Amino acid sequence: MGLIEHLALGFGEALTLLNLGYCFIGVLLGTAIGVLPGLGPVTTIAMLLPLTFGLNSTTALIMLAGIYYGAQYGGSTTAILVNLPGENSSVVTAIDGYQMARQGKAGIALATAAIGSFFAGTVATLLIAMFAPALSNVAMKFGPAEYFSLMCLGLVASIILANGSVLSACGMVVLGLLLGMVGTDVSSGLQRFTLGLPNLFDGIQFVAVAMGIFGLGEILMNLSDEGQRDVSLTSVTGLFPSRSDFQRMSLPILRGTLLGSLLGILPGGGAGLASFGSYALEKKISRNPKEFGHGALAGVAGPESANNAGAQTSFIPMLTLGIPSNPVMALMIGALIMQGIQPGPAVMTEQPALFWGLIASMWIGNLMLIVLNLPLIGIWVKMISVPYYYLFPVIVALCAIGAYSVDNSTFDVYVICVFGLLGYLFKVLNCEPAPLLLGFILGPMLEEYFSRAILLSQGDPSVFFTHPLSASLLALTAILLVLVILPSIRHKREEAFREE
Amino acid sequence: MRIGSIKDFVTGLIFLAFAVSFLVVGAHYNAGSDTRLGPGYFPRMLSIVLLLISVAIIVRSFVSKGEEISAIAWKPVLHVIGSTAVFAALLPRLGLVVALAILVVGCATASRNFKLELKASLGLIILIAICTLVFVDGLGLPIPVWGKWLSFI
Repeated sequence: MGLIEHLALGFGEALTLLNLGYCFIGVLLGTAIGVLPGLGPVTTIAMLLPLTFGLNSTTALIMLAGIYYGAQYGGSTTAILVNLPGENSSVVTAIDGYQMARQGKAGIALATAAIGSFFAGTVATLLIAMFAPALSNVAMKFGPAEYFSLMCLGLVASIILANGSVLSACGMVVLGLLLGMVGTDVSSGLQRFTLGLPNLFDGIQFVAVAMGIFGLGEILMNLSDEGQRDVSLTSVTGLFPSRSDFQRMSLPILRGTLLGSLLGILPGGGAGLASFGSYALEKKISRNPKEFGHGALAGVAGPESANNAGAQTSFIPMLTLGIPSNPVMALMIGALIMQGIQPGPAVMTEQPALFWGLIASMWIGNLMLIVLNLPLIGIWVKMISVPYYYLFPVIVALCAIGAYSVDNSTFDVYVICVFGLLGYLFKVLNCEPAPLLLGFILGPMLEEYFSRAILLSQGDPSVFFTHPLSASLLALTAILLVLVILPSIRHKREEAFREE
Repeated sequence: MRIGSIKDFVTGLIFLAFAVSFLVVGAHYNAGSDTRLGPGYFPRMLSIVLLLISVAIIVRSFVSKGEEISAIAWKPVLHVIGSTAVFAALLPRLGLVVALAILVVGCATASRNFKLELKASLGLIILIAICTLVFVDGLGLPIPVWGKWLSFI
């Protein structure tokens, strides 16, 4: 089956009324939460996950995916207009985008962000369509040792973007792995760390963990720091960029798209890493780097394209290898498992409609987003003025109901209480929660592949190093770890986070 | 000895507590043989790694200088976490409507900007109505609307 046939299948699937409808809901919701600071794609997807149970898997994924890349669009709106990035990945957009708004060029900045995002979304969709099958083929040759090493790479990569020291981030990863061990061990049937609680026999509910840490934890952090938000808005006129604007934005958009696509595929990558990387790149190769921070168009065009490309290509490892590269993908895998689909290289061949339908819907979603974001800017801007004290009780309520509805158990609501407290505590201590969630999801898988690799090699641990693919992945992991620890890089990292 | 970085110290303690707990609870799990790894192997290995990391962090907390730790805001914690726990306890007994009302009011009072006004009360009623309609009627989730104690409604 060639590319054209695949895309035809995908569009056929994506263009049904049902899928179009849910795609629209997804991107609409995504834009909304992207605009609202304090509510992110992780919490939203976690809240909606239990509700997708009744939908068929393609529709569910289409909607959830729409939330993720839709949030990238929405986040840029507030970043540019009020210097309040709604999402992590819009933090860099705020730097130059807000300056442009103050110079009366808000419309152009918004248009640049939208155009860049759409271009990147289109290219990323094509890239996924072209390379995912090849990647799947490679993945078929993966044995347990290779999967183990790849997951190690992913876990270490998630440390790169983590706040705080490398050691604490490592600790978070290992703690997450340990928490993932709670429950019944599949191979032996032994109940581990359940302390006799029947609710823990199946492990700690990961949706509850996600909602606790990212939902409640984030809210507690915001509440402890409640300031008044200055929502003085510049009026948005002149939405259409001039010819010279187009010229100035085209190369950064191109670079951002390519860089974002690459960084999105990396384990640990996604929208955030992509946008930071693109900003750094544009600043480095710019002819007048001084204008960065004062309204450089490239500072908006590059990162905005990168974050959208990164958001979409981060689906690739999840869809082809079954390995999540960031917490959002981890939730998507959860959604797949809930639908009874085992993520992995077989998904493409066993569920082609799901795979290609999802990819096609990403492009359709991008189209919807351009329409939603540019003409409807006024509505989103009004949303920002909703006071946080109206918003957060609603979020808590939705989290509580969502946690309850997964397994019809009040125990899971207590779980979000515990993890909300933990999440808040960790945030106060400057420990990044994302590596913990990733470790939590990957823990059981990591153990399974490790055990299987040892079993196949008959007790020989060097198998991880003698298989060439596994060895190179582990080498890459080691290099990444060393790079992050190196003082010079460490300072750049801390600098980047201090700017937030 | 003075603690240079209190954040690191507390982080290290938390990690240490978790590592030791997992080691203690998992102490009797069978680690298996060299070829067939038992259920105790991986957790024990991870606990030891976490132990080492926590010790390293604690040691570093004495050596390096870190930032001040911001105070924990207990009022939001009490309100938000407390109301959520109360919600969990009351949901089967008093149902979604009552539990949700308590949850939302409990949370809202956490904010410094809370004002008891008509707009907010209306919002609360609308929120409860929408949640009940969407989750119970619309999506058919088996959430008790009035609960055991109020089952006469």
